[in-house]
Amino acid sequence: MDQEIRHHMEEVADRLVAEGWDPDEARIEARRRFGDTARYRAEMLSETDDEGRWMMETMASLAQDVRLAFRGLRKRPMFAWTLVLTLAVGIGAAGAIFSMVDAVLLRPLPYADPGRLVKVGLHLEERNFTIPSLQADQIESWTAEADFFSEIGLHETLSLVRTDGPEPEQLAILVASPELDEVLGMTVGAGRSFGSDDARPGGRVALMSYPYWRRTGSDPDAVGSTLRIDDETWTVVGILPRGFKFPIAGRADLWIPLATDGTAAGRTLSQISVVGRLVDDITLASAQERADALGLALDDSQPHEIGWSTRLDPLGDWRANPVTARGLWTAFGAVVGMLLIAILNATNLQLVRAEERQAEVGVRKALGASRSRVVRSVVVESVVLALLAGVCATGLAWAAVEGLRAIAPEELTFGMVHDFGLEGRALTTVFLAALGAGLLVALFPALQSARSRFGGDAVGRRLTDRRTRRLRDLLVAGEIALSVVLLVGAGLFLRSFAAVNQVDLGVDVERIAAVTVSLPSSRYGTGADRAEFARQVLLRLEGLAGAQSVALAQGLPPQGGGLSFNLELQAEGEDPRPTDELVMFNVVRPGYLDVLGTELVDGRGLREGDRDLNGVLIDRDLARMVFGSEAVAGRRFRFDPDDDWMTVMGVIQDIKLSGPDDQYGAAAILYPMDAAAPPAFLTFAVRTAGDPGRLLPTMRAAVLEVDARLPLQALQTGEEALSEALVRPRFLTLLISVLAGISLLLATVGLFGVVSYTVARGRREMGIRMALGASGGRVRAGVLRWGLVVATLGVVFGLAAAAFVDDLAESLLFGVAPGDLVTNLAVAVTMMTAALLACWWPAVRATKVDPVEVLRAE
Amino acid sequence: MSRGDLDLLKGTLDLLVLTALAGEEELHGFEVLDRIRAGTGDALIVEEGALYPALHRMQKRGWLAATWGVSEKGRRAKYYRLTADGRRALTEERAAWSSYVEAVARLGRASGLT
Repeated sequence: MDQEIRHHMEEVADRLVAEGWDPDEARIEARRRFGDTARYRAEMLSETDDEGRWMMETMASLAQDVRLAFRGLRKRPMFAWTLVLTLAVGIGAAGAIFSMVDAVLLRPLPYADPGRLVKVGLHLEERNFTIPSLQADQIESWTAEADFFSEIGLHETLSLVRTDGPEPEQLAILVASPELDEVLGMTVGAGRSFGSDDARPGGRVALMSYPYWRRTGSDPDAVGSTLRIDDETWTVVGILPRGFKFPIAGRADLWIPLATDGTAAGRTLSQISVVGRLVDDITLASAQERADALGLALDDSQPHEIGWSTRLDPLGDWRANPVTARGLWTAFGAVVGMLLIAILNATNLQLVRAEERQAEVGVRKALGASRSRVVRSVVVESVVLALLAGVCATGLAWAAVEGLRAIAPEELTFGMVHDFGLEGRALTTVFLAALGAGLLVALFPALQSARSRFGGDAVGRRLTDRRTRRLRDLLVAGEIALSVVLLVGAGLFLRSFAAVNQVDLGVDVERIAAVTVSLPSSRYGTGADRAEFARQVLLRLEGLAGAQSVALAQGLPPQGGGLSFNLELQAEGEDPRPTDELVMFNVVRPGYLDVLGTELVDGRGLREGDRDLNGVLIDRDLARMVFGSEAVAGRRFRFDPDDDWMTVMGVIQDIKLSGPDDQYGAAAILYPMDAAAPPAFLTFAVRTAGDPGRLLPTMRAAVLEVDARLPLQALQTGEEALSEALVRPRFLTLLISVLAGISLLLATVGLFGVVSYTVARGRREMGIRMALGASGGRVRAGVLRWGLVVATLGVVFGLAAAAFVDDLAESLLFGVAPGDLVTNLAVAVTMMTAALLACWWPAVRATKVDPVEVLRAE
Repeated sequence: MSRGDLDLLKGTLDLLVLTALAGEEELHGFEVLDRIRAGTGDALIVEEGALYPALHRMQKRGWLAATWGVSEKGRRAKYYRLTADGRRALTEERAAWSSYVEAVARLGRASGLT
């Protein structure tokens, strides 16, 4: 097109030259005669069809806008990247945490009509403590009376050993009544489900879980195959559907039927869990009322049971224990706070950008750009930024979820039915949220800047609008306040975690190595079998180089052992006294105190033969609970008036058998183990002079030398066992601290951005003031004073808000209360320091202003 | 030039261009202008700004075909020639023009003009 015009002009010029024109003038004349080439081009366009023309024009000017936007952003990399990353971090983190909360707590269970499914537990109101099952001997009468359920399924977990694989393997088993699958609305993936015939005692059939089927080689002929479990032959009759998981049970490799006589795999179950489907037209609340009436009747038959009631909860609530759920919600609250900070930050940045743009817009308008064109270029820039934010947010969310999956404690994933991860839908949501937020924060400033008139604005000298400035100050103060709330929260969690770690467990875990086994009843049916096994293992462990002392118990503190409840404490010579306190117990062999490093406060440690005397060790907590004093060696007491008297052989220092936070109670009792008939679940603990970790392989070998077919339940050092017990508080503390740290960073960046910008805008004023004799120090002080006022405002409001908000986290804290002075002070100091730093640099830059240069630039 | 004149010209411009091309194998834009001016004895002068849009419009309609070639002065130029459709259009336009002229003449006679 252009070439054709050029050719034409050359022809015209030739003609003119022939007529006697000067060649150069001829060229100019030819151009003049042709007229406006741009109009010609526009007319050419008008000759193409209308739609194409519209498209071409729009695309051309849009491309121009996009180029303009990119050029503008490249010129302001700080602005662009701060905005994009701020939004991306806020939304990415919120997306990641929400996907975790969603998977663990919110998403409905993938069963038929999951809202009607209810789990029955035994609840102790005073301690807000629920046991997820009922006493087996109550099940039959209870389920017969529970007319508020249309269907009832029973289940329980069990652990059995499979011996026909390459190595003995501990299997996680779900014992299920044949009705359980129907209650859940589950159909097996292959084979058949349990029928009523399978509930006959002695039946040996099993359903395989999909993951276990995959793990064992995805055998296409798995249905009908046999497994060797507990020295018996079991037949696989079906495979559970892919992705199916039952909450509460954690990983279940196999399902086996619960027999009508209350046994499974030949074992009598003492506790059985109940899942029911509510009858149509009955609410959970009214079902609970009827259950209460039922529960009272049960209580009457067992007069000791005080304070316990049956409690109905939606099945989905059992996916996470209440403490974990509260922790997750706390983390979610923190991430929402962080998101708010990010959005305030982004709005602020856009406000700053809008002001800067006023001059630019003024010029463009003066040059004839239409208002719509100006608005569009502003919108295009915002869209470009929002798209970038969307992409970054999606990437960050994905990375954050992968990170969370890697560090999420097993306790969190145990009851999870849904795998958590960012699938396409969630990623799209994150992307759209970031895009929306990016546009939202740009909207108001963009419209404001498009409104600007040319004239004064074009010269770029218009003073910052007072209202805008106040709004910016408020946004910054708001950001600071929000991050103060988060920091106080994180501070409380950190202090709480430190307090938990400082708790004297009554156990010196540093030099302990332990191995735990569970002896299968098929091969260790009698006490003598188990005693022989224990004797053989102890013999080998005592011979290990570096072993100082060896002990045998049920589990290693702070885990293991058991819990007694429903007690009527009675010290000899006094009346029995019912209590809702729980008492942690462990069953131990003499030498246990030596291995643990637990000190005696009164009396002596356990000796062989103490069992015949009914002698026990109690800790100081229990001594005070029963006797009201600690020096009680030799005195007798019992937990129930029907029991025999127990003699206190010794009182030991407080020992935390249920973890440092006394999750189930502080009182502890150690019973002597029956050497002639030890329990099936045994922990061998060794105290060593050296590194306990190096002892573990030889301990493993020692156990396998005695029984090569025995899978090890646990093989760990004392510190590992302790760390396992603290995994939840550590996870929460880490999560909240990271979120609070990012919030602090965001708020600081926000303050820094605003101060820098204000300083840049105020260069002229600074220049004049300094030209008039103001010293750099005074100018600097002015900037710092402004920053301090805003920061102080934010900190004061933040601390006040934290006092309200952090009460919600109280139940998650240990050894520190909300409103903790140290935490509040530390946060205030941290925040003010960060604020000062954010103001310092721009302030210093402000005073480097050369008055002459600035005024000349006008 | 007033708006009415432009409209009239637009209506007849196609006819002028088609007629100019009818006598030759192919012409570039400048030659078309030249030919119209010379052929009408300088009575009709087409503006450059109007010619090229018209050429392109007719090319798009399929009346003209265009090829890039080298002019006798050795410059790259775009040459236009009539297509079969173009010849048909020329016939139609000529007929329309003739009937228009005749109609105007008839009106003149009816109005007593000579």
